[in-house]
Amino acid sequence: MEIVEIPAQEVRLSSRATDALASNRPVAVTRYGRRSHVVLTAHQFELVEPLLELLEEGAVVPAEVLMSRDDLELERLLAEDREPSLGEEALIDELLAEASTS
Amino acid sequence: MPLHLAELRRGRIVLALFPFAAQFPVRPADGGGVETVEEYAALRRGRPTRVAVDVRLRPVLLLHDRTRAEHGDVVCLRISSVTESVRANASFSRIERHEHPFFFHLPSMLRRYGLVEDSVIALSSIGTVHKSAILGPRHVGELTRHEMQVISERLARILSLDLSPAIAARARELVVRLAQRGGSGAG
Repeated sequence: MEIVEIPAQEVRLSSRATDALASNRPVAVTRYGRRSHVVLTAHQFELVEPLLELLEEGAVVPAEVLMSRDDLELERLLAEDREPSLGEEALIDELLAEASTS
Repeated sequence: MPLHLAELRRGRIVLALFPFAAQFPVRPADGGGVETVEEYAALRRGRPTRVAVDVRLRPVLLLHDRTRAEHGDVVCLRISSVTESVRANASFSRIERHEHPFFFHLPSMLRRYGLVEDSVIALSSIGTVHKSAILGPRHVGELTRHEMQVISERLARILSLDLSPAIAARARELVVRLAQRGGSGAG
């Protein structure tokens, strides 16, 4: 993977960001509320670099490996979605009414 | 009234009886309880068994046309309404911005999708429903061709489908065709 290396003097990070990186927490840089960049420690990057290379090559990577804990939790929540919403109930009534008149 | 066959087209949203995945312990209808899949295999082998499985009438997205009468099953994706706990999940903002590769957001647009609430499709929630289990008399909404293209790409990714040989073969075919056209034009 081709990485552009720049000296630390060229980057200005807030103390909040440097503190987070010092405790191995990634720092996301946002622009208008959306993540534009994520800063990792060198050690963290070493862990994900092989995966980034595989993705760059277009290799088939199992989706599960690419899912965060939040993604997996969301999948579980959606799979356990047992209660019909008010909108779904209304839609059932609507279709039943249409079926009885047609 | 069941849905008319002509309604069963890829990209349409219908209400159908969608099952929750069967999990152990199960209670066969002919009595007894089976605690584990190993116990089940030893007792029942590969024979069909009637067990109680939860189902729910819910919106689903049809993944292919099933307008011919010969086919009984339709492959689809489960659609879930966005609840407070879904909205509170850290991944939801990416889903809402259409940036998440494994989910698809359907904003509440009654006219297009026929859904009153914001909804989400988990691309891993593929299932089949029987045609007789789809509530008519009509589909409730529909995705555009572009939206279905996005769904297709995300499905290929989440199912780890290696499409590169098929794409390469298609590209070779196009190059040959272009070369032939160039050759015949020059002559």
